[in-house]
Amino acid sequence: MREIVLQTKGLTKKYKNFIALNNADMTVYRKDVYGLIGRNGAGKTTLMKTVTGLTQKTEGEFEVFGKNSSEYEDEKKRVGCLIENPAFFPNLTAYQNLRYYSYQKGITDLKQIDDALELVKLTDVKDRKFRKFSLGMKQRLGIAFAMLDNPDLIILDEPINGLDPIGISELRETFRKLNEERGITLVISSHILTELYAVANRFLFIENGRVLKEVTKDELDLECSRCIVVRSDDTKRGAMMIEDKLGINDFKVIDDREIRIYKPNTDPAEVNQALVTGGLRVSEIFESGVSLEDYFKQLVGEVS
Amino acid sequence: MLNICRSDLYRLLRSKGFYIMLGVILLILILSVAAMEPGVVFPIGLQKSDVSEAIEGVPYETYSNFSFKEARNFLLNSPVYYMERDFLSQNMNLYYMFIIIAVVTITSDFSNGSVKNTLSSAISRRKYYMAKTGFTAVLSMAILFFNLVLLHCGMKMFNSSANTLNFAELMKIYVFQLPVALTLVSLLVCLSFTFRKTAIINGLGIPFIIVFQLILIILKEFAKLSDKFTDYELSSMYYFMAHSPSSSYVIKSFIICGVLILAFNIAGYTSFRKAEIR
Repeated sequence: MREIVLQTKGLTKKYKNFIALNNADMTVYRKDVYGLIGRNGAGKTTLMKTVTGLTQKTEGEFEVFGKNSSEYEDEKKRVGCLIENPAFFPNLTAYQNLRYYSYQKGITDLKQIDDALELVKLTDVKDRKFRKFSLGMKQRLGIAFAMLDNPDLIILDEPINGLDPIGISELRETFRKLNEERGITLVISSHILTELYAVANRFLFIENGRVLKEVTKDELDLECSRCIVVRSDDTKRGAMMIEDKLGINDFKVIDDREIRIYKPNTDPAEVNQALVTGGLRVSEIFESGVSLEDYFKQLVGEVS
Repeated sequence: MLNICRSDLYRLLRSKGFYIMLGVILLILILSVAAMEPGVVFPIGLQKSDVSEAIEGVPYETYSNFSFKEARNFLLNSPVYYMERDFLSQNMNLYYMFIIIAVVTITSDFSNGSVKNTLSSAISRRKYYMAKTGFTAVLSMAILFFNLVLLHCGMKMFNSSANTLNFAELMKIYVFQLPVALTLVSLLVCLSFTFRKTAIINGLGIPFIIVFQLILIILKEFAKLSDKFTDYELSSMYYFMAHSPSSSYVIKSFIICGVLILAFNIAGYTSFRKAEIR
């Protein structure tokens, strides 16, 4: 059984007349790279701010390393965060900013500062004042800050924002290293699906404060891959017929109304004929296969 | 908490605002010592010379035409006149320095958003509040002491020893004025944690004393309260604490300051405890 690093149950955040987060459930396992996907204002930042203690939850509960919200203060030492835009003291240099936080965190080994700066490739500009940094450099300093204390869990809110393509690619590599070589769990939010898809192994889709779906990368691939969708009121019998009559094994019963056939070059007309002649009432049959963007649009469309 | 204070000290020593503030304190002291006048805001054309206070019973005509140099010499040779008390009684001026301290140590964290980095780590809001309040208070106490030491040294060096107080008397004034200073610091900490914006802290903090005094004067007039009522106003307390106050005045002042410090800190922490950090 994999260790749960972060879990929320029915987490809700209400402002006066606005529900920013509505009954959100999510589970992040150790060594996950967990992608939070949603449009701007979907509730990703609110979710992150709630679990990091920057805002108070209205209802629900969350646990970090097995400790609930009222007793996880000490466990926060194991968490590194970058929430919203990277914010540092403009009159201090990159090194001085990290030195300031190393004092706060009680870090005595100053090599950790150099290591963090090295990891995000800011060593050459470590003596440059923060106010003179570009957005991408600020973003990287924010990531260095999140990694300063060698955390077990890193929560990054839109870390790709402002980075150029090379920066994004380097950051992707950094995330991979942190996850694979150091075993760090990452929770990363973004509205750039393709970038998140490139690094994450599990995903949470969120819209209007509500969790739409939590899927693994395999499940997402499956849902996005080309297939024939068969909708019927008797999927059990349908599955047997697909296997016996058509000799197809590469299919999946999604629920009691839907079967997906993934075998390449299958003719939908042939499937339809076989099922109907077998006495199955097929309400819908069509070819599917969507891009990540279309998949997300579909999810959002189903809800709104 | 000590770690937060250590980090704040690290940042403070790299803040231009802090050194400018120290420079301004030094400048005011140098000018004050040279002019033998405490640096306060007053209608300069109407200011009466301190000579009159120094030599009670001497006819006005004898000193009304004194030049600046003559007045200085006259005061330097008036051993009964403790100029230092007058200077220290105007320590309310330091309130404006305390505003700078509050802005540098607390409000800047909120203004540039760096407070998120601290509060999302293993530092609770209670610890953060206490550390920031403690650091601001200690720093303000240090400024008060720095001001006193510089004044004393300046007076001894340039205005003869006859006009200065001894160490015990100086420390007594310092200890007596400390609760008043801490009350002002608590007020600024409360404002900083409640409004969390530099512009608002400046907008409210700078005119606060004037508005506060006006309210007290109106209250006094309308409620027909005795003169003693305004004796316990913050700048009055600063003044009286430097002029050998009675023990009952000191005790009452300490109690008032204690209650205000508690009230300001409860209000400040309550509004910060559940605040949304942006």
